[in-house]
Amino acid sequence: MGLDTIPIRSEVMSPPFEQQGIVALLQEISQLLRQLALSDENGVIDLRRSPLSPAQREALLTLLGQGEVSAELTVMGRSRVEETALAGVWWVTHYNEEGVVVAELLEIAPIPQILLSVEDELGESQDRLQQMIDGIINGGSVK
Amino acid sequence: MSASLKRGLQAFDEVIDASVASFFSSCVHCGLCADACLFYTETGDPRYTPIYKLKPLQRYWNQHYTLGGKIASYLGLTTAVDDAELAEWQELIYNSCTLCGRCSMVCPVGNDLTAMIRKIREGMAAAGYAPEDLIAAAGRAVKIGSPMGVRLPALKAQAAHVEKDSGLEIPFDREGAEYMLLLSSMEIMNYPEYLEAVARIMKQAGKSWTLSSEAFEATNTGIQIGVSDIARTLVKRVVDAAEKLRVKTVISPECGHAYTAIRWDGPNLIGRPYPFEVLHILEVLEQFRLQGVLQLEGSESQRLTFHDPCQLVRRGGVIDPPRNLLRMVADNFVEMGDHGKMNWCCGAGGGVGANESAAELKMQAFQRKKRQISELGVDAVVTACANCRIQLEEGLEENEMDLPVLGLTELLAEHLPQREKGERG
Amino acid sequence: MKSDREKESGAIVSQREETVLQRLRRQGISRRGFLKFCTATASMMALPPTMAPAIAAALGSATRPSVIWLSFQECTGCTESLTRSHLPTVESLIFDAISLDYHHTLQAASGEAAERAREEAMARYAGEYLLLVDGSIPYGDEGIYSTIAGVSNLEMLRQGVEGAAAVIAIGTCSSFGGLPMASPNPTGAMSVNDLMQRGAIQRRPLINIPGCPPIPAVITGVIAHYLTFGTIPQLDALHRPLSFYGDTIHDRCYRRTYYDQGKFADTFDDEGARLGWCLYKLGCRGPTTYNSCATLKWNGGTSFPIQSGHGCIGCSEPGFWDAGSFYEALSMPTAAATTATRAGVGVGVAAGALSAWQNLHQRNGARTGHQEVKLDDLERG
Repeated sequence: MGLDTIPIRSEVMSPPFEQQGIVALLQEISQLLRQLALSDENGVIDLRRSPLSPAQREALLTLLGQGEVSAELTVMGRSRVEETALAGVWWVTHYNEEGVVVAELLEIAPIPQILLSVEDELGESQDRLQQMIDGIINGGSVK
Repeated sequence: MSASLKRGLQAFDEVIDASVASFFSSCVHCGLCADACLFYTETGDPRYTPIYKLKPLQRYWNQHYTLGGKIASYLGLTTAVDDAELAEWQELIYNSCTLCGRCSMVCPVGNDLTAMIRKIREGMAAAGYAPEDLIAAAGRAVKIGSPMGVRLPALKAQAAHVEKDSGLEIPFDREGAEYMLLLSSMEIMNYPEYLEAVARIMKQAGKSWTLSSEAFEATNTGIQIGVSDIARTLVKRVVDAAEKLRVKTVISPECGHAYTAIRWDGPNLIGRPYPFEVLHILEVLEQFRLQGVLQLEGSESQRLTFHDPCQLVRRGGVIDPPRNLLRMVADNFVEMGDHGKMNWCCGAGGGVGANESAAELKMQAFQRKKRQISELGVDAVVTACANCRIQLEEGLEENEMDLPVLGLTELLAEHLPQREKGERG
Repeated sequence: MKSDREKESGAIVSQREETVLQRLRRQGISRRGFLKFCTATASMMALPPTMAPAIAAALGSATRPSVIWLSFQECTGCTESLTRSHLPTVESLIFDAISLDYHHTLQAASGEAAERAREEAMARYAGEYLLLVDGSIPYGDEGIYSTIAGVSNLEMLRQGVEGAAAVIAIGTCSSFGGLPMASPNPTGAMSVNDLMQRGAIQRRPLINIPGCPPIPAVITGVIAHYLTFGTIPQLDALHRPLSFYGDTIHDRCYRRTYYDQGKFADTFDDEGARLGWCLYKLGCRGPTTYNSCATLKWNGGTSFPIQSGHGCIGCSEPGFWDAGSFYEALSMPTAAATTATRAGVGVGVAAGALSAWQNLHQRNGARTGHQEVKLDDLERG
């Protein structure tokens, strides 16, 4: 006898097949947003590890929409950071120097990690500014 | 065929579904489930191999639902499941299984053996082969509202004591409260400190909560004995009360199977989703911790370990919260071997603790936990299930180990800032 | 001449003691660049993306380990796979983080100088170096079928394994025997693991990275893991890293939903094939093959065989090549069914269908005929 001959009662409402992956991802985003609100802990979803077909990926992009902020970084190749229509949900794509995607993430955070300036760098900036000021005072010209 | 046997076999027909068929078809007879079961490891008796406990259901399925089995029965090559067989299996199905779920974790073909034990109990109970003590407990649960026969006045009396000791109000039937608290009879009778602990924590957190005078009992004997009709009646009481009081969240107490019953089985039993959320008390406390409304002071210097209740970790996935909470107050917390989702059962869950005919066997099964605890050299054991707690206390006493067993919620409440305790309403 | 070489080897040593972070900084890579590198590494190693800071911390202090790469009965496809990854990439950065002291195809030195480099590295970093092996090892007739500089592959592997901290078998040949081991296996080819089990070489921690060839990111991912954590990653029973070989191609395949719906391509040019339905019936080995092709993909993340319309051939599984035709569906009988067995199958199917109908009837009967089990029913009689 085949298993298909035994009637199966579905006890939960489930979305159509093609959309199940997307719904799971949206649930995960929602969970991470809740975590961010509760504990200030940033969340990251690795999109390359989620088996999305190109069509599903497009559908997800459309669903999440376009927010107000976008940023482009030039660091070992290009990186793009785009806010989605959902505040706190960022679509981050890292390319290598040849333009091939090396990482694609959804970051759930007030602002994505890669955009932040860190303390060490602030100190370095101060040192360099001081050098500029000294240079102007001593040499008298701005270069 | 007796009427009761007929009822039992009809129940077998009802529980045999796609998952049962695929589980039985895919079993490769590897025997790995034996070593996952503490009734086998502690006795060495091969009859306690989990898949063997399912033999009557497996034979019934084979004879009635597979072509080969049908031909074999037609030719008289196999015998039908009868009263004698079910009588023989009563001990295997009820006394030597705590529904702890460990065997389901190790099955290499992914068979949920625990769910099948739960199903075979449907047939056993309908055929009249449930243990007497469980039948009596089920009777009290349906008629009185508590398997231990605790009535509302008894709870009210305990609540009055707590109000007097703590100066806090224990609210009943407060409509629109955020949380509705459930209790297990064991907590009402043996560990009333739990109620006080929750009252004080709620007070500090500034949350509104209530008990229901119509449904305060969380345990569900229907799940343990394996009668869905009874389980449904008991779940329905809680759902009705929660809907009437319009609460947002129902809190399952420190009791393993109560959590499984109301959190996971409940919506399937009543055939619809709940309009409220169900959380275990530890999940609620973890939320309070994250929200910063659970503020504790001081810490325990004694060496503590945590016994994971099976239903919490394996069925519910509540693994990190108790650890996060414990670390707030314990400087010297050590993990037990196989902790978390592969923990070993205390030996008394799934109705075994309430079943007098299993008394000797459950102490034999406890040997595993005893070894685990003694090799740690701890000063106390913390857990979050009243049933585990009783078994641990009895087991440690019988093995002459002088070790206190603490409930996690109460332990946390002891570390609330003192001024709160002194407050009088 | 001699002093030049000494200077050179001195320079190699001091470069090796530089940490990975220092080296990247020297190449003008900023903090953001390093963070991006670690994020891409975490993604490639299938670690949770939140691990990126931990990787950054570990790589910041890791020094470059010595790596010796031995090639035996192989086709150089594994090396090609690695070097044809789109440079410069994260993979190439990882290669900056190791010191590749010996590799037939890639090293500039040749002849006796090359062999001396291998011996020197083995002596200087005894107990510390990583040994990478591609190709199977001929074991028949005392290993005479393949020699390098007069030394048999078996002997060279034996010497190499002795001082190795760990061995990484790259490709199906060194992991499971591969093509050289295919029947009738004239050279008595064996995998590294076979030889360890047999006691012909010493046992060392072994990681198999099968595939014909393996995905370049998997090779570098495993090395990155070793660099980051100083340990070998979690392995399955066949010594494969779980992060890359934990799921089947089928479980991660974007066509999986069609399988679940029962939509299959029956030939390579039918409507189903055009619509991109599941290739199971055309012999796809996805359900029994553990690898990351469906998620990491090939050629810089462009595609993988199923995406281009051909089933998986299971090149990374043991027994690849002797496991029957690539174009027969997995559960179909391998020999042609005779008329008699076909008739038998026909009767069986009919009887099965009848039996199934009865089952349905019996079960539905039970469900609709359900009588509530009440307390009194719990007694016998």
